[in-house]
Amino acid sequence: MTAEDYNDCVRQYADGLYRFMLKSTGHVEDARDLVQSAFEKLWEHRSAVHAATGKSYLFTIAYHKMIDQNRKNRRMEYRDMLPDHLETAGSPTPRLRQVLEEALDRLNERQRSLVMLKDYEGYSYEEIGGITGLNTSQIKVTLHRARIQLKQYLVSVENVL
Amino acid sequence: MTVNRNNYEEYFLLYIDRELNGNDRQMVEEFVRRHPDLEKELTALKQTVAVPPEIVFEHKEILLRDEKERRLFPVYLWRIAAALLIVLAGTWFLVMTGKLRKPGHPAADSREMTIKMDAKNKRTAAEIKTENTQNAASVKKTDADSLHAGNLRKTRRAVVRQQPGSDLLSPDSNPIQQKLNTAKQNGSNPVGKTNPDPDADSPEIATSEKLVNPHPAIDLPGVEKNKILPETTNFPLMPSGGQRPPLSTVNRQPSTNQPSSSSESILVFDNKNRTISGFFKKMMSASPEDATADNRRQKIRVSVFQFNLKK
Repeated sequence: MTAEDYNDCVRQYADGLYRFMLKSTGHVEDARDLVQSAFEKLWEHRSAVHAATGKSYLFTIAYHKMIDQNRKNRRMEYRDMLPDHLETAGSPTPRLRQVLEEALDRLNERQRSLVMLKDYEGYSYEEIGGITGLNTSQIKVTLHRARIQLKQYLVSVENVL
Repeated sequence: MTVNRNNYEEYFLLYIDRELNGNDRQMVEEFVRRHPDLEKELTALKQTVAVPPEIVFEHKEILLRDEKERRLFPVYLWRIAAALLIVLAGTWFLVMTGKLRKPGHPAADSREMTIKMDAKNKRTAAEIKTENTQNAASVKKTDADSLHAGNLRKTRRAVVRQQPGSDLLSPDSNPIQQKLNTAKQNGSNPVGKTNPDPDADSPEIATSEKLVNPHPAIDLPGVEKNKILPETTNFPLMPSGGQRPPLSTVNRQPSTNQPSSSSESILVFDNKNRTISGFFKKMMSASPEDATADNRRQKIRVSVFQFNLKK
């Protein structure tokens, strides 16, 4: 990977990586630190990273750093720390989106990460396995349980409304 | 494998996760058309697919890099260099400390030489002490040799000022001496030698010591600092009249019985530095019948001290 490839990664993946980290940690500064740390690592090892795998490399680094950080901090109040303008910024379907965000927040850390990697970034099970270190069966089972949990929450909210 | 009512949920989940190929996707869509009651189930699962929010990493230009700004010396190399430096410093320290313990090293030799010189000085001092039992003047030299280097200057100053003929020691010019003479006339007989005769076995000294009041109370006037009283004085350190403390004192405590012993001390009071320093000497002599190897040589013990007075 050349310096230009690296800068392309910055332009293409910085937002997605920051979104993933922000949704995972719930802290703006933590998310920014994780993103910068991941790009710093990519820059240091750019000679060993192919340009095509730059995105997965970034997400892999950031994901594992985030897991380590969450294990240390165990911050459960992260949702209260999110700025409001980031919660609903650019939301095309406000109500359903809000409910789905609430449902995502109720997932455990692994489920939420896998859903975001799947839905936000469009990774396949295999690619998610490469990032998280989980095998395909674990990812499949975890994601399916997350979907069922999300669906149940959405149905219950619709019934209330 | 085809989709049916027993496994449709797994297919639905794989469908919304886009993990099915084109044929399997068409198979699932056909299955839903044939089973409209399950269409609502698939729609509910589709709603669980999260849509990425518009979140932007602000100031992402800080992440951009230029090949020219590549660090000449990467961080990990700095860390390695620092670790090597620490290891080398520790090795050097261990080597140097090990050399100090080895004979032949200049530092070790100097230490050994110092120790040998000390031992030699001790032997010389012992010899001088033995000789000085017959010579009062050389007792002073022995004491001076035994003193600590830090106090050597003061001791020499005291000895010099105790030389006969010195103005300070002149009875006519020294008010303290006048006080002492007055005390003598009043019956108090301090030890009466500038250079005390260490020959404690001398009948003359023994007789005179019997007459000495070891602690006569003398009211000393205010005196200037660092002036040395003649050794003929014999008074406590602090004046009884509440005046300024004496500059120095020489005290001989006679023994009344054989074996005889005598002690001698010189104190120097420095009013400016608020210190009292000096040395204490004790000589032992024994009667021939109970003499031991030490006291037969008329053992002399000397202590040097310095007190810092509280300001």
